[in-house]
Amino acid sequence: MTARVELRGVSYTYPGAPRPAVAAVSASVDAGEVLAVVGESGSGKSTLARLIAGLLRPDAGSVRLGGTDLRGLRPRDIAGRAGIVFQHPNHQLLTSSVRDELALGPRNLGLDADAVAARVAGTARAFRLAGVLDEHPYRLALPVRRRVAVAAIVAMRPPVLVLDEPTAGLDAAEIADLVAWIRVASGGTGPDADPSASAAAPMPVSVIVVTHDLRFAGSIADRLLVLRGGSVAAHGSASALLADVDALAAAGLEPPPLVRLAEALRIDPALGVAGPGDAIVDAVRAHRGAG
Amino acid sequence: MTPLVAVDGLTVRYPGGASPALDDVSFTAGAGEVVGVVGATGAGRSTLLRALLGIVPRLVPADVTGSVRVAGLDPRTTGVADLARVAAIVLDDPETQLSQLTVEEELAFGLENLGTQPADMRHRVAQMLDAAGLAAFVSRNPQELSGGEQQRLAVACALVVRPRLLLLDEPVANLDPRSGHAVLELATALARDAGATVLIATNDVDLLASYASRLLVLGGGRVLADNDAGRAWANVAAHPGWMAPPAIAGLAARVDPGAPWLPSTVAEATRWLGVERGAADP
Repeated sequence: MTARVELRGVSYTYPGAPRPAVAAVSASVDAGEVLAVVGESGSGKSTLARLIAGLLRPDAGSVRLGGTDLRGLRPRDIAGRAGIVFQHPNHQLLTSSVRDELALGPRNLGLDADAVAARVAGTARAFRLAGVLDEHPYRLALPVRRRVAVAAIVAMRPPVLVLDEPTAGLDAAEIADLVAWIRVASGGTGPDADPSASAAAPMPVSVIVVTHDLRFAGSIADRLLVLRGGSVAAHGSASALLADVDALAAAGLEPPPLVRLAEALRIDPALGVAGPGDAIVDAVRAHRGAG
Repeated sequence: MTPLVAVDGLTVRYPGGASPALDDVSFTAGAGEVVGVVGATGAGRSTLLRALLGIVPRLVPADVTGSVRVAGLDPRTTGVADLARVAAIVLDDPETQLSQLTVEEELAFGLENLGTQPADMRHRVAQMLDAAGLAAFVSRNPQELSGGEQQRLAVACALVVRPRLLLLDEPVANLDPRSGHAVLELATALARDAGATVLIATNDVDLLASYASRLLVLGGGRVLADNDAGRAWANVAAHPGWMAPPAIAGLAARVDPGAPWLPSTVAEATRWLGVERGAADP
């Protein structure tokens, strides 16, 4: 199977910058797969996200989406293949109502009015925005504004979805909603799956999540790409890498809290990756009995 | 001696709001205290911080009843200049708070407005540039900094005036954990070294756990719990509808259901389990 996203030796240097922001990064993401890109501030995470979404052109190497090199595509053709949600929702909310915001992308993709209305209704339902469709996005609280920003991109149904720091400012329940939604999208049942909707069944989405939240990464990612100074420091299974305290420390990252606790108790750090499951509860309880 | 912050029966209703944003909130906070203000989205955290500075109702219209005193001043009627000598706030969208053309001018802005002597001002700005790790950005335009750098700058601008009350609304939302620790370390140092009262409203309870010794847990505009952190987390763990506790406290609650006190950092957990620390908390 062809990878939905394929990066080959991608490098990018901002004009006037002394060193590349992204240097020789290679990685691939299949349909239905979630890749978390992690690294400390300045490691090149957001730049890589912009390269994948076609907002920046690599100086060297190539970005292929569905087998097609982005260099051969016009911006509006890229918009149909990859959608990016920025870190600050204010940077991408352009219209004066949530309804217009959700309609903007589908309209620009050339959908007719009925199809646009169906997309808006389905997306609003999936993201619990039906009650605020006529509000101005800037009047909404930050977490709701962020939900609008994600929904506005998802309304275009891009086969590749890039999310830059999507958990910033969200509470635990909102992050759990986001995790559930990403799982549904990457699994292909679609964010607005509704038997009564006439829209065609969405395909499994490839999701690339840029995040500094390793607890969140552990809850959704199949694979992890660890960046340090613009280069790949580690790339592999998320569950294995998030338990690799030394590899994370080498990239300047702090492992998730339960991984650090497991390490301190000298029990298997892998038990701490996904959250407080039965295995780590039993292991810690045994420790308590022994201590 | 009266505590620096005294809130009694504070109720805030926004125009058209179905239920009050804050509903009969009472608490006090004294010098040197670092209080985490936590709760699910909509709990009233931001409204509480804004009401402590009079932003609600003076800039954001609302019907406010009850009493708020900060260093004995009523923020609803005290002049902005007098309030600024006592209290500082960092809002959850820091880029909207930055107005100057360079990082250095941004840091000096608050001090200039307070009439600080030039020599003292230069010294404090230089000190804060170092402490906040912003020395390399001294001549940069704040609007061109990354989200994390802007957030650090906004916090530094609040710290440099050495307020007796520091209010931080989601100060680490855009930061990686290392920068988040740096920001909260700066804020808690102000409490430790200068006796300031610091209120931190955040969703990042894993990070907060290392800094807040006391928690105000809000829900639906009301105070659900007001305890030292270990007892407050035990209270949160016993009420799954309130909010999610830090990962370590959540695990500890499963290990020992019904415990009256829960650890929320690795160091607390290893002590709680009666074992030596094997890995350092940052």
